[in-house]
Amino acid sequence: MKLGRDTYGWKNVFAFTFRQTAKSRAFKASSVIIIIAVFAMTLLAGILPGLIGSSSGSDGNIGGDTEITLKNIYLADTTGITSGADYEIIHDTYKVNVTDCGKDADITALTEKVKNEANSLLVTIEATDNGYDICASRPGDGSVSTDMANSFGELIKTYFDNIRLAKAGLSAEQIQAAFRTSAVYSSVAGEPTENQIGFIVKMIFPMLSSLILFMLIFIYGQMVAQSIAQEKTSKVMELLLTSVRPLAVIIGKILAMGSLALLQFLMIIASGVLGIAVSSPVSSMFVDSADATGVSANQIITEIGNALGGFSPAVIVLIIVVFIVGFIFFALIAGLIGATVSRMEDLNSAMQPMAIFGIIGFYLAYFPSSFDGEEGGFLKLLSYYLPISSPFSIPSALLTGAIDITQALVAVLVLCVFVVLMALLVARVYEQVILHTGNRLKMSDIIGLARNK
Amino acid sequence: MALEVKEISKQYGSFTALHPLSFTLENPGVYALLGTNGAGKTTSIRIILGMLSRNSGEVLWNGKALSPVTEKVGYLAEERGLYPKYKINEQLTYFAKLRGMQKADIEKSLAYWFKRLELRGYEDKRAEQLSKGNQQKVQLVAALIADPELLILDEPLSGLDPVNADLFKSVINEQIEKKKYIIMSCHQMPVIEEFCKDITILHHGTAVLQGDLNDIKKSYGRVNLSVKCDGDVLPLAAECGLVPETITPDKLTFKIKSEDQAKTLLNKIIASGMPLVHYELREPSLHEIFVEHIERADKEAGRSDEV
Repeated sequence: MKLGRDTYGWKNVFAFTFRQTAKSRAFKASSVIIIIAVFAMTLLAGILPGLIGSSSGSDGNIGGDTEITLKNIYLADTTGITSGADYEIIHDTYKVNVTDCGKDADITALTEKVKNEANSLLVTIEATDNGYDICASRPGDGSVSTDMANSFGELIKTYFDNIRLAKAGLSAEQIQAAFRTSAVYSSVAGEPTENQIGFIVKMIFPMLSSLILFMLIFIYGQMVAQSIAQEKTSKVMELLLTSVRPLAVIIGKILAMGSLALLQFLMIIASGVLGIAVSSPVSSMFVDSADATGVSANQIITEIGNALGGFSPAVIVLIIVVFIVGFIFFALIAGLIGATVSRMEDLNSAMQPMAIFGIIGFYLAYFPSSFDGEEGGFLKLLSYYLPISSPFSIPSALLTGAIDITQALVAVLVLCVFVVLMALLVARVYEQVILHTGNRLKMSDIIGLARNK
Repeated sequence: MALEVKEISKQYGSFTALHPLSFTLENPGVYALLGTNGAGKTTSIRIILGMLSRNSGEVLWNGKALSPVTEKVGYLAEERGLYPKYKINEQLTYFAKLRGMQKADIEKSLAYWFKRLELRGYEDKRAEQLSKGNQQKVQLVAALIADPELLILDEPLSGLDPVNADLFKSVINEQIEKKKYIIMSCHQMPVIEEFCKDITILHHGTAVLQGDLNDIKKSYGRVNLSVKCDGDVLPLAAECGLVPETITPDKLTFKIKSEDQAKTLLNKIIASGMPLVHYELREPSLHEIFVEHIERADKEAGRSDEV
């Protein structure tokens, strides 16, 4: 077999297949649907926490797009701790006057006053057996909302705590250190730490990435089979084969469909990134502050980044390589299956074995990845090295740090070996299969052809 | 230039689709590849075109192995095939590019053939929007677009109306005038007689007759006599020892052993004073030769297949 002669013309096959498929309504429609769906999903993922957070009551923050209706705060600190404090910054920031009514203020009179005075708030501080109670009372006319009363109550509490600690002898740095927040994370010994988002990302990401890769590789593999079967059954193949060899046809088709699959893969990534990027400004249009919830879009991205510890340019390149090689593996099988049928009606049943293997590969890629640590170790290894599952398992394993680049390279090499073996089989029998008419060829027939060539 | 087909054969397991077949096109012109359905014509053509691997033999073009991928070869397949959903000019451009043509040459060639085959106005139509005849014209354009030296036409006129059949015939004649090498497979024997000098008749994968068509006919001699008179000519024929092969309202036909038999009958008719309307003494037609050889081959092989 002379490779140059056998592959002559593949570029023309590639260009024509790519152009005609890209121009087709099916490709345009699926691209638009994918872009909109992925963009909408990531956008919702970004703004939903903000929306849920804003509707769940106090958030401890003031401002955003909400108008501050509060004008006067009457502070009755019966402990006297805040006595003499300067509230100028509150006036300057929120245009709200804070009147210190002193430790002996008549709370009953002040309550009556606030009851009848719109846009006012009475904040009382009292010592209790366990500490202090801070209560913010608002008028009943609705001029001050519950959220706003709570928010300014929190603000006064911050003042109170700062002054209280300063009076106890703490320096400014010590007070700042005391107020620094801390979070609790759990982890399996020896494994990276996890929080809730990280846990969800680790659970969902492998499934999503495996599913997307499975869909793309499988749908476009099916399109290779369909395209070849159509050319064969419509007898165009006979015309093509007067100019090019069968190998050139299958190479051109696989690369064209693979490029279109890659294009849609990049569309998915771009739509997702765009959705996350615009989710923060969009969510701020609906809620007081996107950061108000404590689970902002930026935080989600950060947490995803933390969870996907293996994210790096080298990993991205490797993922694209895995995608391409994995696609070629499945497309070679699909192309061969497409060539075995003489009627389009037979194609679906002919593709069934490949579909079953593909689904097994998908589940083999997804299930072991959801196990922690050493659990499912054998299945995980199997999923990295079996060609039916490795294109779906390696990308998520790389991104979640389940395997390192060296392990992934070995898995890709194993996949490449299977691709070469499959290509040799296809090159051996494709020429005879493509012109076969009559009954659909079975696997035993194909093996027989390969042996007899 | 010459095309030499040497001892090509094809075996599928224990089934022999084509026994060793040889023929040569030493000069430009049309070579006929004839045969019953399943005789091995398409297999032979596919082997010549390099689409199908062969078990033995070789196909030479100017003394070197023919490679349709690199040589200028045009092919009109028996089973027509176009992309139903794609525009005509797009798919023809694709086929031309596969033949290695440049854009300017493609445009020039397409313009010529669209005009020549009366396809103008269909350039941007999808194949499925065209009539069967027009689809066949597009197929012919695909075969001729690269101006091939070797042209293989498998049933070029099947399914065409008389007007389009004449158009196709005129194109074939043009190609003959341009000194092209043409292999034609066709079930319409008059078409073969019109265009072809040399023939091969295949039956069950074996060549049962090969050679120059005129020589083959001459070897039979003028053995077909057809007569029409205004009266009953049968008694006169019986006197000459002739039994009619066919009797139609139009004429009577006889197989004669020698031309003297025909002359005797003619003299008897004239002597009887019976008005003679038609009298023809001719060589056997290709149709008759074809049927005779197929039947003989079947008889020799002990087959009773219908032709």
